Amino acid sequence: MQLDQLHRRMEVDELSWDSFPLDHFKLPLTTKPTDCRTDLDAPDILTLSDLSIDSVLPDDVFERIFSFLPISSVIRASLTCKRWHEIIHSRRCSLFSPGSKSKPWYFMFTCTSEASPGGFAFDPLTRKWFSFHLPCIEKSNWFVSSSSGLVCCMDSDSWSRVFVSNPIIHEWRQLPEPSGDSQPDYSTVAISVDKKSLNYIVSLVRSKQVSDDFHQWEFVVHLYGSGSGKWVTPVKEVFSGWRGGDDSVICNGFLYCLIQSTGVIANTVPRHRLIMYNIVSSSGSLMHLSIPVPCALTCGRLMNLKDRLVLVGGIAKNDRPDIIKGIGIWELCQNKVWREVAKMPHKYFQGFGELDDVFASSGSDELVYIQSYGSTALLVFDMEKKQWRWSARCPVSKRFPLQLFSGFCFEPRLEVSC
Amino acid sequence: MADNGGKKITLKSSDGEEFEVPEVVAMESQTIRHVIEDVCAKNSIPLLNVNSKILSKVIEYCKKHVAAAEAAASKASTEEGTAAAASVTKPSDEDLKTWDAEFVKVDKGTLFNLILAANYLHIPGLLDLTCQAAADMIKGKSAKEIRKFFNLKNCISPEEEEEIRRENQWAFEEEKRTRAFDAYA
Repeated sequence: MQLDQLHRRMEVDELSWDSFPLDHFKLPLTTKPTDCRTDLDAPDILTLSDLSIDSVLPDDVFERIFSFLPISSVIRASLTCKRWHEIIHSRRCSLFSPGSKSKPWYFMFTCTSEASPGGFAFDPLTRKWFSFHLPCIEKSNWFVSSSSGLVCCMDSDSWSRVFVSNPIIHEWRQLPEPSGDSQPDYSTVAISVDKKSLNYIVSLVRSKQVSDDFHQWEFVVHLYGSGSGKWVTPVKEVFSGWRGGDDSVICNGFLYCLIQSTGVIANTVPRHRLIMYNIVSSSGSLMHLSIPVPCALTCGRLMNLKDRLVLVGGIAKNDRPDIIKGIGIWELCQNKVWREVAKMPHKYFQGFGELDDVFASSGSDELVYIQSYGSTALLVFDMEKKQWRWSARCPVSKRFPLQLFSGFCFEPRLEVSC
Repeated sequence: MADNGGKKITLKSSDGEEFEVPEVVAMESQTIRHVIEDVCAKNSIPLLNVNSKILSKVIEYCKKHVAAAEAAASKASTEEGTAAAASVTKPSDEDLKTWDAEFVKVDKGTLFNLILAANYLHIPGLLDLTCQAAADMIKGKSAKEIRKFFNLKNCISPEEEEEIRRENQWAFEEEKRTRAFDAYA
């Protein structure tokens, strides 16, 4: 059919786009104009308003449209036709690009069966819980860390099986075993993805008692780079009166790790300190470069929120370091000083019911999630809006008094591979 | 908006209609800006890719946003109390958002043409606005509904579809629920 005949027909009746197969028109697709002058003379295709959207919009425009969608919609859209499926899985589709509205999820382990720990993931954008399966993780007490869509986990038995996965695209791999003492007393993992190269670093910090008097503790840092595919052990230090292995996170080229006092110190002095290890250009004693936490804490959780180091801590009662009287959020500023971001309002603190001195907290991008181990109640704090909000009610409820729940935050991404 | 003798330029649509607009409005389009800056003494620019209906809408968007930017700039420079002297057409951020929302309430054919025009003419604000509107049309729909709405040819085999559904069960839970409900409705 000639093009002018087509025009005439279209003026007469509304044609279904399906009437014409895609290759029928053989019209050039408009791509990004590189040379403005020649493009202004390109043939007019825009009066053919009944064409299928699929035949006239270029790939990068679709990528932009998809970046405005919550990930569940993106997955559904990938089913519609081959081209959309290719665009979505082409690894160029970042849902966390500056214009997009994607928010990090919270995964909660809700099944205690050891066969395969199931769970639910909460999407704060749609405020829905999805039944979700995580690859690799065999038990809910494994060590977990996440960064930009990759989830790193380590087993809780041998403390030497380390996996990296992207739960959304179902990819995973096991890292080679790190060297060194694999029977430490305390251990913590962290992962960090480089946004440009999409390479990642995994850190494994191990702490082991050296002497019998609980005083000397070895603090060892192992680092794995996805580029080199190898582990290195750049740091080994012995602390007196402090042990490592509490929470750790990699942020802006630094590995931050919380250490705890093992000695008897005055109850007014914080029992935790923050180790700051410069991964790129380390020098000097870690202990000397460490700083105390802002106040006496019952527990501390570290997270990387848009390249800022954030600490969520249980605030201890003055004379009782194991009793929590509140929860605070602090940010570490450039000059190594803590700045208080928020304190959990009392009504939310009470809303958890019984809150132990230790709780789960994890965050990414702009959100901080806080969860009590004893229930499925999940509280969300938005760092930009400075707002607290409960998540939608978790579909799982507590089945027996001692049932524990834990979880972690991760960003659902399609474009990051392990 | 300052219509006090600023340089004007003529944009010609593909179907021959001419639109005279202030140069600053036309330069909302990066494409046109390059033409103006590279090719001097051009008073009339033919846009063979955009018809008059779409071009007039695009110009409407550019005029509105240039006016809003000018209003915001002059608001920032005046100290206080001279708000009364300013013209009544000083949209605040909220007003502009409302205006934008109304602007994209068009049929899908017009919307896709606007997306194409914004992409071709390199108008970032309009491109984001129209892509967001298109995304809103996709959000919440099932794969089948999306296909129907956008008239996409389904070329994914049933086996491939089944595999995608199986691997990403969580994304299709809602669909299952609606389907189950429909069975009882």
